Amino acid sequence: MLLTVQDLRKTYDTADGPFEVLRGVGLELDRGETLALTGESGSGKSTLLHLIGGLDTPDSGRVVVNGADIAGMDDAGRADIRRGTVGVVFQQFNLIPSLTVADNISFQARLAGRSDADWWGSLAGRMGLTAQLGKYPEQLSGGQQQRVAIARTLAAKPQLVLADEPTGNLDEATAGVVMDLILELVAETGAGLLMVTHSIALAERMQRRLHLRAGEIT
Amino acid sequence: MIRPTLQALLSHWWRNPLQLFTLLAGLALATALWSGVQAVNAEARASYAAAATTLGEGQYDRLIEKDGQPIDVATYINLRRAGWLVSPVISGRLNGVRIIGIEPLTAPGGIGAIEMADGADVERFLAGQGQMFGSADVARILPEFDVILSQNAAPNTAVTDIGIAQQILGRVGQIDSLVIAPSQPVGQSDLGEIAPHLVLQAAQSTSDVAQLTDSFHLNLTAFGMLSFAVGIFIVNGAIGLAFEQRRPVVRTLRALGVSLRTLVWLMAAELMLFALIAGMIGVALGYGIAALLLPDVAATLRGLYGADVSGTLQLRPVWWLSGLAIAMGGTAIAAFGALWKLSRMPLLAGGQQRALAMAAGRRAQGLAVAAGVLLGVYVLLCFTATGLIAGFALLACLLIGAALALPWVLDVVLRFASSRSMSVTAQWFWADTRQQLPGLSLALMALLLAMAANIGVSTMVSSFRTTFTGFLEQRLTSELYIDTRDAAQAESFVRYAEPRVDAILPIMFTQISIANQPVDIYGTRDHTTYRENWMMLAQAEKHWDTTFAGETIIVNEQLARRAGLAIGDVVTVQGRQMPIAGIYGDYGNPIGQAIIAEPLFQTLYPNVVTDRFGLRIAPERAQDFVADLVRDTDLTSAQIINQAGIKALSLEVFERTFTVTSALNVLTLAVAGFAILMSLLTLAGMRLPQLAPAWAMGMTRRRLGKLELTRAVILAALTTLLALPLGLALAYALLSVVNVAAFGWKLPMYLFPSDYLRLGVFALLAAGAAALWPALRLARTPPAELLKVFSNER
Repeated sequence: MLLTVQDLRKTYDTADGPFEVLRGVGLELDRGETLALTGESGSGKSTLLHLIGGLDTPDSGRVVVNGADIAGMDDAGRADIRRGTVGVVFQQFNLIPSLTVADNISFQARLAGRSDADWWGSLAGRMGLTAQLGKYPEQLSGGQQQRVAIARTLAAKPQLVLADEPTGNLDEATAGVVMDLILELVAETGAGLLMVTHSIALAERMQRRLHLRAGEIT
Repeated sequence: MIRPTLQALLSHWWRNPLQLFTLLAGLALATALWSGVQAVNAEARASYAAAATTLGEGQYDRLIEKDGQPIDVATYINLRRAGWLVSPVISGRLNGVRIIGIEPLTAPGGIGAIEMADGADVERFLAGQGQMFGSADVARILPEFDVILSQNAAPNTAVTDIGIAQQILGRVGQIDSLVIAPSQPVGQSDLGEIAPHLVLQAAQSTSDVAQLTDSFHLNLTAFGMLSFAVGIFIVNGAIGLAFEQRRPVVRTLRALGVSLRTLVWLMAAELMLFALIAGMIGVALGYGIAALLLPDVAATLRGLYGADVSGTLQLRPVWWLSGLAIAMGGTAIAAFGALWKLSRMPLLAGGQQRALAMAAGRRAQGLAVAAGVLLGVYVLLCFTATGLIAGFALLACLLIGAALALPWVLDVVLRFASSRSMSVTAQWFWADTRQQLPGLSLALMALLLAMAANIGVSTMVSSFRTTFTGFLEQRLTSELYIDTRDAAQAESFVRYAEPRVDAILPIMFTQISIANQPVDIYGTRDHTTYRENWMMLAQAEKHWDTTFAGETIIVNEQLARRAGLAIGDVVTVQGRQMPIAGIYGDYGNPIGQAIIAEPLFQTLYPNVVTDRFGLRIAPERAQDFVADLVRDTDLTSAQIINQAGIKALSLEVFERTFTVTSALNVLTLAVAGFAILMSLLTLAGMRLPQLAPAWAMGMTRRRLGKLELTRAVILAALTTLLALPLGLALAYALLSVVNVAAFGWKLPMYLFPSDYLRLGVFALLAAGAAALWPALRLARTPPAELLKVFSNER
C-alpha cells in the first residue's frame, strides 16, 4: 500500500478555544490509484492533505507513506519524504518568483537528486510551456503558472501526488485541460493521486471518492 | 539539494539588485568607517610602541626619583659602584623633535632601537661626538645635526649619546631615569641604603604616551562605533526586508522538501559570503578614509598630547583582519533576529499576514520596553557616572534608547495627526504613513542617531571654540612674541629691546613631574599682564603676591583634576614644598602646567635657557618696532610673531583637533541619508497593493507621488525635531562627563540655534532628495502594473 492513514486527529487553538478539525480519519491509497477528497469549507480537507504531505504534524494517529510512518518523524525526516516520495500541487501555485519557468520545472527533481532533462522537456511541451521556459512566473497568466506548478511536481516523478484544489484559481475551460494533463501524467508515471476539490465534476473523474464532514470520513 | 536551494535563494538577489546593493553598500560603508578609524588607531599605537621600545618602556624596569625630579649623576655613580647594572636615560624636545639620550656602553640591548646603518660611525657615537639616529623627518627638522637614518626609529624621535642630549636640552648633569638591566649581580646592596629617594618603576605593558592618548583613541573608536551602528541599521533593514520578501519562497522550499535546518544554514552562509565581499570593499574604503584622516590625526596628537605619530599609513594584518571580522560580526548581529524568526516560524504560517502583523506588534512592544530600560539607565548614570567608560556607557544608553523609542514616538504623533484630520485624503495619508512606519523605522533611527551626533558634537565643538577664543583673548595679551635662536641672541635681543618697549616677559619653562604627573613649569615675571588677564577658577588670597614672592605655586585645571589638588595643598618642586595658591583654566592644553616666580625658577633650573619672550608695547608702535628690530639686529622676521599670528596658530591647532570628528560626522549623516534612500526604494516595490486601491478610487499617480514625497519629508522633519533634544543631551554628556574624563577640563555649554536650523534644513533636503526618485517612479508607474494588483497576477 502506498499510503495508509489511521485514526488521525488534529486540534487547532482558536480564539473560541480548541477546535478539533480531524477526528480519527483513516484512508488508504494504492499505487496508480486516484482518490478525490471532497467536503465543505472547514471540513478538514486541506489539513488532512498537509498532514499526509508532512507539512504539519498530527496530534495522534499514523500516516504511513511507502512504508514509513511520517507522523513521528522530525522536520528533517519529513522534509526527506516531501523531497523524494511526495509531490504537492498547491492552489496558490507557490512558484519561486526569482527562477525562470525552466528552473522552476526542474527544481524539485534537482532537490531530490534526479536529473532527467528529456522528461522535463517533454513535460514542458505537453503542458504548452516550451515558449515560456525563459520567462519568470510574474510574466505568466494564472493558468500557465498552475501548469508550471504541476510540471514541477511531476518532473520529480513522485510516488504520491497530493493536489490541493489545483484548478481552484482557473476558469472552467483551463481547469478541464489542466485536469486532463494531471490524470494523464499520473497514469503514465504510476503514481498515486490524492486530490482535494470542491468540484463534484472533477471528483467524478477520480477512481474513488471520499467525503469529509466535520473532521470525519462519511 | 544544496545547489538548487542555493540557486533559489541567490536568485532573489539577482532579481532584486537594488536590495543586494543596499545590503552590500550599507555593510561596506559601516566597515569602511569603522576600519578607517581602527587603521588610524593602529598606526598611532604602532608609533607609540616604537617610541616605547626606543626608551625600553615595555621591556625594562627603571628607577626614578620619588618626587619626579631629575636624578643627579652622583646617585647614578653610587648605584654603579654598589653593583647595580643601571643605565641613564634623558629625554626632551628640540624644535618639536623628541631627543632621547642614552649611554650606549651601559644601555641594555634594545634600548634606542637603533641599527648601525650605512654612514653610522659607531666610534663617533660612542665617543659622544654628536651623531644621532632618527627618521627622515628628524633629519629635515634638525639639519644642523649629523642624523643617521634608521628604519626602526620612532616617528619624530632622535636617539643620541646622553652627554649630547643633556647639552642640546640644556639639562647638563641631569638624568630622567635609570634603566635596570634584566640580569643583576648577586649580592648587590639594597636600593634603600644607596638611594632611598629613588623608586622602582616596573616595565609597563603600555607606554606613557599610549596611556595619555587612550582617551583620544577611545573617542575616535566611539565615533567609529556610532558610524558602524548606523551602517548596521541599514544592513539590518535590508536583511529584514529580504527575509520578509522571501518568506513565501522559504515556505515553498520547505514544502518541496528542504529542511528548516538546511535553509537556516544556507541563508546564514549566504549572508556571510556577502559580509566577506562587503567587508573587503569596506576595508579598502577604510584604508582610503584613514589615509585622508591620518595627517590631521597626527597633527592633533602632536598638538594636544605631544605624541609623535607617523603621518603615513601601513597595511597592517591585524587591522584588515579586524575589519573583515567586524563586517561578519555586524552581519551576524543584524541577521540574528531574522534567522531566529525564520527558525521559529511554522511551515504553514509562513505567508500569513496576520501572523506577520502580530509578530511586528510584539517586536514593537519589545523595542519600547528596551528603550524604556536604556533611558532609565541613562538617567541613573547622569547622576552617578564618573570616568570615561561610564561616560561612554551613558552616551550609548541615551543614543540606543532614543533610537529604539523612535518608532513608538512617531506612531503616537501619527495617530494624533490621524485623529485630527478632517478630509478623507488626509485620513488615508496618515493611516498609510503609520502602516509604512515599520519599514522605514530603521532608516529613521539611523537618521536620528546621525542628526543627534551632529547636533551633540557640533554643540560641543562650538562651545569649545567660543570658550577657547575668549580664553585666547585673555591669555595672549603680549603684542609681540620673539623666538630667539640661542642664549647669545636672546641676550643681545633683551639689551636692544629693554629701552624700547613697555615690558619684556620672558617665557621660560621646563618639563618636570609634580604629584607624579608630567608638567610644564613656567617661571613668570611679576607684571600686571598676568594679574589683570589670567582668570582663576579658584584662588587663595593675594595669590599673585605670594607666587611672585616665591612662596606659592599656581597650577592649571588639568593638573589639579588629575592629581586631585586643591587650593592650599602642598606640592614638591625640585625638593621644595610649595602650597597651591591658584588654579586657572587652561583650555586646549592636554598636560599639566604650573607657574612659579621667575627668580625662583632660575634658582631651581639654572641650566634652562630662556629663548622666547613676550613683549608689551603700544599696539600702534609695534609695527615700527618690528621693522627697527629686523634692521638693527640679526633677528629675522620669521622669529617675530605678532599676537594675531599666534592666535591664528592656536586656533589652527584647535580646528585640526576636530577635523576627524567633523569628517566622521559628515560621513555618518551621509550614511543615514543613504539608508533613507535605500529603504524608500525597496519599499516602493512593495507599496503597489496599498496605492492601487487609492488610484482606482480616483487619486492620480502624480498626486500619489507627491504624497509619497511629502510623507518622507514629514517623517524626516519629525525625526529631526526629536534629534534636537537628543543632540543637546548628548552635548551635555560630552561636555560634563566625557570631556572632563578625557581631557581634564570642564566646559560651559552654549547653544547655536542657527547651526541647528541649518542642519535641519540639510536633513529635510536629504530626505526630500532621497524620496524624489521613488516618488517619480510611482508617478510614472504604468496603469497596467497597478491593475495587476486586482487581477492577482503579481
